[in-house]
Amino acid sequence: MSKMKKTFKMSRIKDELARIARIGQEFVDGDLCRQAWEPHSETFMCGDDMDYNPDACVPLKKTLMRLERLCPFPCSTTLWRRRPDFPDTGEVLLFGMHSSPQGGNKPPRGYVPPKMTRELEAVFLRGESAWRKDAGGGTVAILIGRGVAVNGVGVKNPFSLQLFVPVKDSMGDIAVALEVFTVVS
Amino acid sequence: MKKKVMWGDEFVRFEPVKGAVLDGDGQKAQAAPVTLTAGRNGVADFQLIVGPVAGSASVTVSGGTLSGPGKAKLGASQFDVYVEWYHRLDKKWYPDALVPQKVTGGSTPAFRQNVGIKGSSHAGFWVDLFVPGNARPGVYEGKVTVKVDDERFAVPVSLTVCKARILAGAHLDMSLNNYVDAISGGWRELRRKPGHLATAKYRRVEQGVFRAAHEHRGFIHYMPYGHSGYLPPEFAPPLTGEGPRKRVTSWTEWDRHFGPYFDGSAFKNTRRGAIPIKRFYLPLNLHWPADFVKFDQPGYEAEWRAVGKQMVDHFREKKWTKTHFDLFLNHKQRFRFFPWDCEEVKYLPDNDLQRRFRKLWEGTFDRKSTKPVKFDYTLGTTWVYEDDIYSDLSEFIDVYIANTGGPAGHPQRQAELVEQGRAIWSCTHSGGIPDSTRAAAYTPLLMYMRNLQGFMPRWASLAWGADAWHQTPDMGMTTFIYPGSEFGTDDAYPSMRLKSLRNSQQMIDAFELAAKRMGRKKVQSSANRILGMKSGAWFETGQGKRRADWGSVEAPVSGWSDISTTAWRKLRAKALELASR
Repeated sequence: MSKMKKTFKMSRIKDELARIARIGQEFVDGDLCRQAWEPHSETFMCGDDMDYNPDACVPLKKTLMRLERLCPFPCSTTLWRRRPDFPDTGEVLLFGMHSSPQGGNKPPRGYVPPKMTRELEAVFLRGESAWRKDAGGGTVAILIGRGVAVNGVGVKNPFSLQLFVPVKDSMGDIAVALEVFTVVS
Repeated sequence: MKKKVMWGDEFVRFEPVKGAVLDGDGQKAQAAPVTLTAGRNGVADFQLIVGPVAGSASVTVSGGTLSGPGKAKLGASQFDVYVEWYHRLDKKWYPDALVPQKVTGGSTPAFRQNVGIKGSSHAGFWVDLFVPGNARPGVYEGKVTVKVDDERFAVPVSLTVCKARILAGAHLDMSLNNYVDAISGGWRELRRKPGHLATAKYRRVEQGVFRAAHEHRGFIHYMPYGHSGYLPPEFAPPLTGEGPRKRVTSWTEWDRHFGPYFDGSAFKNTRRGAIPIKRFYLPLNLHWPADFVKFDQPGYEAEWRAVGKQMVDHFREKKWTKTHFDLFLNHKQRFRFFPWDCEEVKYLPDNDLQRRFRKLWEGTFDRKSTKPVKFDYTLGTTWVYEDDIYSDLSEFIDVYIANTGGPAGHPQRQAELVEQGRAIWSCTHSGGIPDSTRAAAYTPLLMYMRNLQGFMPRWASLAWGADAWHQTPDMGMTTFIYPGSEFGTDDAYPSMRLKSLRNSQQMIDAFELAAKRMGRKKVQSSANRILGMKSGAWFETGQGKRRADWGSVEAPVSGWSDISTTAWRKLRAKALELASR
């Protein structure tokens, strides 16, 4: 039976996402996260100026993809960072296979780095994990269409379910937030 | 006010309220007869503007038989009649979308109400007249009939059929570039419906769009994967296994979906005929067929080569030898899935990725390994074209897609690459709905005079938004074909700008016929004399390099307004004259 066709209780879905997140906290290299952007690109303000360091990013990307495969149902992952120039921001650093329900598109013209969400505040400011649940919309429909969804027992309307956890660097400081998410339908 | 029927060619645009001519440059409506010239296996076209007509009136146009030399005839079936749709932009009406009259029943009160025109107005029609390849050269005369309710107007038509026989294939590749799943957006019942890509409805509408492009001497170039590398399952054959044992489990659905484009059967019963599509983007990307988790490891190469070989063998077995199959790595850093710009590179080290893929390409998809099937390594090189064409990339890149100005700066290097069998294109800008059709007509001419091999009139051509007909996005700059869903059909309909692009493509094909005899330089000199231009003028460019986010920073289409309507008409005629010698 393909991953999508199984049905899970909500408690199991949450447990599995939490398990993936916990593994991710150990295996996502926080130091590499800090090196993901080339130094000249750390404070990019438009798409043209975004320049990754592939030596850091490729292993991070592979780790994210591997994490996703550990889950018994389809899920995806995202790394989020605080910008060094705007510390109150919470900005996508790198997507796994799919973009986060909050991830959005490329930075538009006149980009304003987004403020931290409540969940990212919990991670970056208090070192806590945080759950988020959002009712279905366009992004949820896209994720369902792409197979990033799990059948939940008793669920009538689809929603995205995201878990954000801190990932530390070698100095013990929080380098990024790891998001693990799925759509429950 | 008395009703009149006037006509104009592709360059004259009429607004519907007063039937006035929209553009300046000495254009005016003409009284009958309609006078046309066409090559054999070619198309001539004209517009009719009828009015004023009452809001309650129904207006139709019917082609009649044209009688030519001896007993030669061109029957009414050679006419394709479209009703002109008008777009409201900046408080003005502009014609652009063209709806087949057989769909609307003419310019009817319901049609005009749908457009948003109230009361008395003028009805606009676009008419294509196809000349079969075996038509006898000479003058054909007859009429078309305009009916306004019960009132009839006979409009005499005189067509000169030239000796030149225009080839069905197009000299320049006109790529109507788009991204999956743009097409479904045109049909409400398909939008966001899970699994819609596998439905018969989707296949019909997709073929309708591809046919519309084909009919106008272009092709839909449909990028099947997103920046994440996500591929809808309907756009790649299913795979199983790992490493050297990775394989395609079945070609059945892939063949059913795309085979008709490669053998031409999808284009049966078009005027242009069942010619295989010129180019096609393959699903090859950073994440297919090889698993990116294995990137830079032996398994990645093994998977690439294993599935690649199966693809080549299968395409050979199917004898799909007329289509160029493109690898185009489209991923960009700004979307935050992969750490390289695979096209539109700004930072040159990103090209190292192409060097890595060169190693995978050679021995799998290069020409020696795949003949007689053709696979092309295509590179989007908007900002660093002048670096790329002199670098080691030129040893394996088959197609360069530059911006408008890039190729103009390096004609000699371009000639060397073309001599080696490479192709140089521009992705450019061809005007929007408010612009004169001369803007669209100009693009193929510019490419031809710069000796390029292909172009994209814009980076997208099926941008429909929520309502392509009443709220065309982006002033229509990225919309050249319209979805027939507005009229309850699964077909797709052209724009006037697409017709102008077609006409320039046809003109260039006539020039190329002449070039076989007299050489292309002489043909181009002849064109320059008519246009009052020196050959070097085509290679001047004010385009700087390394402009940011070029899609909105590159200057809007320019140069087209330097060529007068009169000069365009002389150029069109000259092409047929040279080709007929």
